[in-house]
Amino acid sequence: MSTFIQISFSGLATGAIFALAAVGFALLWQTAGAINFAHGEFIALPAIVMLLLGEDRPTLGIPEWVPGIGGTALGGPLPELGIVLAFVVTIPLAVLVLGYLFKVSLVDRLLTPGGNDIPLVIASLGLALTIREYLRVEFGARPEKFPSVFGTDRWRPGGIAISADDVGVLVVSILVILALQVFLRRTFLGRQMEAAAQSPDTARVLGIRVDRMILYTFAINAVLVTVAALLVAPTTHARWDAGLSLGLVAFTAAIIGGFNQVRGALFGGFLVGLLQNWSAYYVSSAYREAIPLLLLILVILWRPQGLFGIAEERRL
Amino acid sequence: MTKGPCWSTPLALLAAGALFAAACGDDDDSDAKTDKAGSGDTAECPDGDSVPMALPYEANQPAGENWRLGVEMAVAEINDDGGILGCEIKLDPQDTQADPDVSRQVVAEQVEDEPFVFLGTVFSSSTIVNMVEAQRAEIPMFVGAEAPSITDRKENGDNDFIYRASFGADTAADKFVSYMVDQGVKSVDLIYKNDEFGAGGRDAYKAAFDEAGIDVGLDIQVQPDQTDQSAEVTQLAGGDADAIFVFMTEIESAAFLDEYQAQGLDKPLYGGDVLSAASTIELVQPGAADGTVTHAGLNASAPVFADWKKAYADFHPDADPPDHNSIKGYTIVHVVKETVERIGEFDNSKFSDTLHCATYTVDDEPGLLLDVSYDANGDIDRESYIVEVVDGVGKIVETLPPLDNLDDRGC
Repeated sequence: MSTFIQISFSGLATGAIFALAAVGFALLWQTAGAINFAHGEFIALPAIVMLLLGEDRPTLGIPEWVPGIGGTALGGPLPELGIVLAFVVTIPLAVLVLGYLFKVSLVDRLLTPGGNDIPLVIASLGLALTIREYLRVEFGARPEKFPSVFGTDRWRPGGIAISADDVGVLVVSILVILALQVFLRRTFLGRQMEAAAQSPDTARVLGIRVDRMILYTFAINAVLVTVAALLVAPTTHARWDAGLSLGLVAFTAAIIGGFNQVRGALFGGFLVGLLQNWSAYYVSSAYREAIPLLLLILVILWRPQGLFGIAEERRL
Repeated sequence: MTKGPCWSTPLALLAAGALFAAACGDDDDSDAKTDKAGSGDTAECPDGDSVPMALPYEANQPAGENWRLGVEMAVAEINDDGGILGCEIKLDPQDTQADPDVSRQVVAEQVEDEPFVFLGTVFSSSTIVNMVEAQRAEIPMFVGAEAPSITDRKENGDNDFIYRASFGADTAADKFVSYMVDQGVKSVDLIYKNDEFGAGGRDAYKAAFDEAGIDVGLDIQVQPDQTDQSAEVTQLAGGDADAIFVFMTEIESAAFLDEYQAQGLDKPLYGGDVLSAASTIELVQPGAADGTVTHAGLNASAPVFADWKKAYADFHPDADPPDHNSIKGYTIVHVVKETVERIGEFDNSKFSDTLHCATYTVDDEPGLLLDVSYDANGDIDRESYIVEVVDGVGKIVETLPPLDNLDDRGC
């Protein structure tokens, strides 16, 4: 039993990160009808920025006389504080670049309401490649250790290995997703965003500024990817290609759970994390990635809207 | 890469002096070894006054980058010293993106430029694919890859043009398994990365374990880039072997070590050189790599490389500290230089006759850093190291002598 709990707990911790990333896919699809295949790179980029803010300010062109906000990020007396400060500074940067600039420079130009979304898909694939290569050329191919904001403590209650990082990732992910749900469902602004997502035309008639709501969604997504970067980088390390596999798994999770529902993407993330670990232990580690993909095929065949998604119709 | 090391100026003056002496016909080379052209000798260069060398490498991977940095340092030094037989080395570095298909395309395109030799690639999965192009063009190719199949003549189409810069996993296995037997290991559980490098290493070590009478219990693979290895480590926790043997690259090794420590396992950990490499240790949680014991064909912390490390830091002041791939890249250029000087001309069709079954010493060519022998397949033999990680630092605990068995290896 302890073995089952062990691998399930680890699967949930990994799944929480998949869920955070998958929710971003669902958010953008719901509100803007956009699929962003650079989503994984959107997570890799803030991780590297945080690390640079923490330890390598000259690379960013920050003068030496500016106090190092994250100077203790990698080994000072308060390493967690350093990376938290770097995270706080990265949030507005991410909102500006990965939220606002991404929307106005790419999405708004390529996405037409009810129109063909293929150009944006292709453009986001190109963007993903561009970000990856930029990170590699500018910051190098070598992976860099990224400190965990939750420290390195470990416990073994009942023979089950639990790390502070796993617990922290799980708790923070769930809190962030709950906060997002509460915001969308319980606040006036959140309901306006939901309305804009579900029926833009009706929302406009009701006086909701749909474009602004969509912009807010991109901003929220930028915050989510920065949180995901903070949580996932201690495991994947800060590296130029960390987003590639993460983006693919998150996309898979979002489809399995339901691309058009935040709760579906959330469920898909946890399910994929658990399935990977259960497959590796109870079947074979060779099938760790294959079994979630098998589930993906089954879902597409028998429930294309995803396990928790809602079937959509498109008028032609 | 135009900056030379601090000793480059005096070396250049010496080289200029040697060239001047040769030009004046004062060719008093009686002290030189009979099988090697003197350092002041010149030959007709393949391309004007230079010799082109292709450098296909994985620019998007630390291993490939370090290989390139090592190669470029050696080339700069040799060129400062007058080149090879008076010919300047001209490198053609091309990124293969660590993609086998791309690497084959890159090598095929470089073949069109008729390089004298290929220096690369490092990734086994790429090398196994792109070496066919060099073989077809009959151009010697020196690789940092370690998969055994690369130099297996039954699998590589009797390739006479492939040479390693480091041990193949099978040669390393022969050396390391003997050490493990001496340590009293009677059974192991295996965990490896599921790619050409990891699977090749797993096959080589499994064969060596079988031959040495070490029982292999669990045989677990992890996928490339897999950073959650909790299920695999939980499986290992249920194994009953004396020790665990790990064969993966940096990202997977670091993830494994962190999880191994997290789950509180305490069986002895043995592995390929990456497990204790500095590039792995710096990614893991404090103490996670401590106690691991590995076989390192080349290890930058070995005293024999101390001076070279300083020169490397001077030459590449902004680069990360060198690792085994940097040393591989550096030394292989000197292997090429020594081979050409022994041939006495730029005839790469004579590489096989010259390099196969030959032993080069640092007295012949100081840039080799260690004496090295090549067998009939292009595999190398030289001294190597047992490394144990203590307090987060890889320390050499034993130096293993060369196998010294060229007679058994086709020679």
